[in-house]
Amino acid sequence: MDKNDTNKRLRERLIDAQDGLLSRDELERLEKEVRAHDPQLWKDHQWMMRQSGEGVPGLFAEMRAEQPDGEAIRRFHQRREAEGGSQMALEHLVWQLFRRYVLTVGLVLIVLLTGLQMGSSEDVSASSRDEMTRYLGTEQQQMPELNHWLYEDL
Amino acid sequence: MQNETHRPVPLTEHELDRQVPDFYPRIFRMVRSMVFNTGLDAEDLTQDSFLKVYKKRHLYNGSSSLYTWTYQIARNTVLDALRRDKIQRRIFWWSEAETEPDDYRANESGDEALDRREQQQLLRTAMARLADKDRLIITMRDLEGMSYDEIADVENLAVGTVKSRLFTARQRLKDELIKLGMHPESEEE
Repeated sequence: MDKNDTNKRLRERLIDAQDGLLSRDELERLEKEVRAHDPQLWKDHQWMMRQSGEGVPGLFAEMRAEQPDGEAIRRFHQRREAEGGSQMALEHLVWQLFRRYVLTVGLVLIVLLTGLQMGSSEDVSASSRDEMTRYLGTEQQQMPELNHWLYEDL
Repeated sequence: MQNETHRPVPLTEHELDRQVPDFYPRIFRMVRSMVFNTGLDAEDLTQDSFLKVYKKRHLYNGSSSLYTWTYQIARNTVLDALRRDKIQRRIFWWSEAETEPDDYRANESGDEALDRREQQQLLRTAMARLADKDRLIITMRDLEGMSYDEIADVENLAVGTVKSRLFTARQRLKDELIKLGMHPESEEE
C-alpha cells in the first residue's frame, strides 16, 4: 500500500474515531499507527476532538440554529408565481405572434401564388394567340369577325 | 445507476410545495455558509436553486432522496455563482477593494477565551477563506449533519473518500482559525 493510500485510510479511520465508532482497543491501535505515520495528523485529530466538547460540529452549533426569516418561503413562492406568470405571458405572446405570422404569411403566399398563376395563364393565352395567328395566316385577316369571336373566347 | 428510472410518476408541483418548508431553511443555511463574505445574496441563490428544482422536477427519477437531489441542484447553483463571482473579481480587479472579504481577526491580546460572538465571526471568516470544496464538505457534515452516504450521493464520491476529504477540510479549517488568531488550545497529548 503506498503512502497516499495509507494517508487516505488513516484519515477515514480518524473520522470514524471522531464519530465514536471505534472501540478502545481499535483507537489505541489507530493512535500508534497514526503517530508512526505522521504525528501531526494525530495532533490535528486531537484538536478536532476538543472543539466545544463535540468535535468540529460543536463549532457550528450556533450557525445550525439559524433560520431564514419567517417570510422567506412566502417571498420565494411570490417570485415563483411572478416568474411563472411572466413566462406564461411570454409564451402566450410568442404563440400569438406565431399565429399571426403564420396567418399573414399564409395569406401573402396565397395572393402571390394566385398572382403568379394568373400571370402564367396570361402568358399561355398570349402564346396561343400567336400560334393561332400563324396557323390561320392570311385567312385570319379576311375573317375579322371570326377572329374577334375566337380571341374573346380565349 | 444514475440513469435508471425508479420513479414511474413524475414529481408534481404539489409534492414539492409540501417539501419546501422543510428543505428551504436547510438549503438556505448551506448557501449562506458558502457565500459568506462574498457579496453574493444567500436568499437570491436559495430562491434560484428552488426555481431550478421546480423547473427540472420532471428529471427527478427517485434514485436518491428528494432532499439529496434538491441539495445537489443548490450546490451546483452556488458553486456556479461563486465561480462567476471569482471571474468577475478577476476582470474588475480595480474594484476588488470594495468586494474583498471583510476578514475578522481575534483580539490580538488573545489570552482570554473568545466570547461566543467573536468565535462565530472567526469561524465564518475562516470558512470563507477555505476552498469551495472544503467549505462545502464541512457545511454538509458539520453544519447540516448530513450522513456520509448523502454527501457521497451529492458529491458523487465513495464514502471513504468523503471521510478522508472531510478530515483534510477540517485540518485546513483549523489552520485558518489559528492564523486568524484563535487560541489553538493546549497541544499536549
